[in-house]
Amino acid sequence: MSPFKIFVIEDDVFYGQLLKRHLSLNPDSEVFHFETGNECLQNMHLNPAMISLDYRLPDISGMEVMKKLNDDYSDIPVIIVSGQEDINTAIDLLKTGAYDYFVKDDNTKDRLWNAANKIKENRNLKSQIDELKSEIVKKYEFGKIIKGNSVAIKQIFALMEKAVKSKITVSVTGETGTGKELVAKAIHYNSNQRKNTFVALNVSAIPRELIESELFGHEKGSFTGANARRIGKFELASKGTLFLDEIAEMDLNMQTKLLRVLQEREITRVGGNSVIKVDTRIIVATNKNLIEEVKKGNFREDLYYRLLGLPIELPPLRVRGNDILILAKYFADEFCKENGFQKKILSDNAKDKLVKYPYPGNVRELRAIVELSVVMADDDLIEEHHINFNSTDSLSDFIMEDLSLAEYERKIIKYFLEKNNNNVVLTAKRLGIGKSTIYRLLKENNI
Amino acid sequence: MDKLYSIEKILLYVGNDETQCEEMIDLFIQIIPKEFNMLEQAILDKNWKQAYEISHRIKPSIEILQIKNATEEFTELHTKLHQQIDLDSVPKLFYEIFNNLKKALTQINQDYNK
Repeated sequence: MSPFKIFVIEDDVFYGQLLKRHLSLNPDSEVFHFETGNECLQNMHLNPAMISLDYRLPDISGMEVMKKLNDDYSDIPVIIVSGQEDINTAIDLLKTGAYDYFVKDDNTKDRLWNAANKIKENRNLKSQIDELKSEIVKKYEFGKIIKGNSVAIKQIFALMEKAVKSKITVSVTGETGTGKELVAKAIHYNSNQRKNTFVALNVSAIPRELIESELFGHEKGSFTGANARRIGKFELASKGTLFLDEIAEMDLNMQTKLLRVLQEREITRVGGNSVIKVDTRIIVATNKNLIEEVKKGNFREDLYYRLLGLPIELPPLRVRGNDILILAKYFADEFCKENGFQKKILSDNAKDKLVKYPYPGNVRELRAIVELSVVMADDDLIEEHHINFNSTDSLSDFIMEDLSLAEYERKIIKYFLEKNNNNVVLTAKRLGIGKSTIYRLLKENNI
Repeated sequence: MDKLYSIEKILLYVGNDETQCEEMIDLFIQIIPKEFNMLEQAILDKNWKQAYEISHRIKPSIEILQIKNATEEFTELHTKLHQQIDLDSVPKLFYEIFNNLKKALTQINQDYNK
């Protein structure tokens, strides 16, 4: 790691050198001593991580140096070290953005030492956070987060590209398991707001009486159990993105409050008086048809239009053709990697079985099916019989068999004959056809 | 002869490194007499603002060496210059401090064979 550079700005040469030597006792630190404010400003290209600044300098005052540093280097902590014991000066400097204010005495060297350690620790944490954030951003690149090359998914990519260029509200719709939250995250982490927080809230998961506090926060004592001030999701997502999932489940009273916030761009914490400006991008999602909810009176029309923004309708997996196999391979590879398995591939029959299934649970269901198949396959080949569908939709199971009309006919007659103890009369009556038709079909199909 | 100064604080700053301690004493001998000459001139000129600025600048150095009969007196001088009070007594107080500083410097030079 690069050395922790400290500037000591001190016009008492002897004292400045002592501070420099003391702080240099830490082998991770590289300390520079300058006698004037201008020397400090001229050497900012050395990129110090911390500045110890004497308030009284021969050329410009510590306050002026502080102000100049604030303009271009506001993230560098500046500690004022001064013999000046005027409390008002200290307050002014702290208001201007000084990290701390130390009066020169026997403890100054220890205070500076401790401050340097604290700042170094924070810098390390910040760099770890930045690293993690950039990993998240990489993770949420469009191509990585949403797999597939079908026309339907390419259209989604095109809309997402448009969404990231501005802070327009985005409404994501689609069946369960189509990846609405992933789309919201991908938009956030590819937008200019990516350095700030992405906050997700599932509206249906929060009890009605708590949703306002959850969104806007509350002040201490605002209701029973509010033991401390709490920051709401809007504030947490300041300058970032707030993702409101299952927005259709929000009750009408709360919808009114949300509409006001979206219009005024300001919130008031529950039990509070002060108005807090919010600059948060909103992405909403639902698997319901919101316009239908408006017609039924369950959703405010004005809020609907306010939230509509850029609509993105995610296609169900069953219309995404070959994407099923791309996703299946991706999920199989990921699962093998996570669990230390040797890579497993899908047999042709297994692939055939996968593409024929209608996936009522969409991508989420495909993932579960593929992961189970990896576990069931003993060697590196996933066979047809390793693919098990768990759908509760028997019609889907039936249709997915992909038979001809004659084959379906035979299957239906066989099913009802078995159900009616091979009673042809009863079966013919149940199916609304003649007995002779059944006998003919039995003969033709060797049933 | 009594010790007229102390290196105790310098050693704390430099992690008990005696070489660094000696280097710092060299620096003190080089700088402080010059600063005192400038301070003397400012006092003789009754340029109290400049006198205060010089005294403010070197006060930490004087305190570090703990010069006998000069450290506390220097704080008193600094206060008078800062608050612009009892300025008539400043020259006398200054020369008392300067003389004590000179004695201490002589002793330092002897101790370190300068």
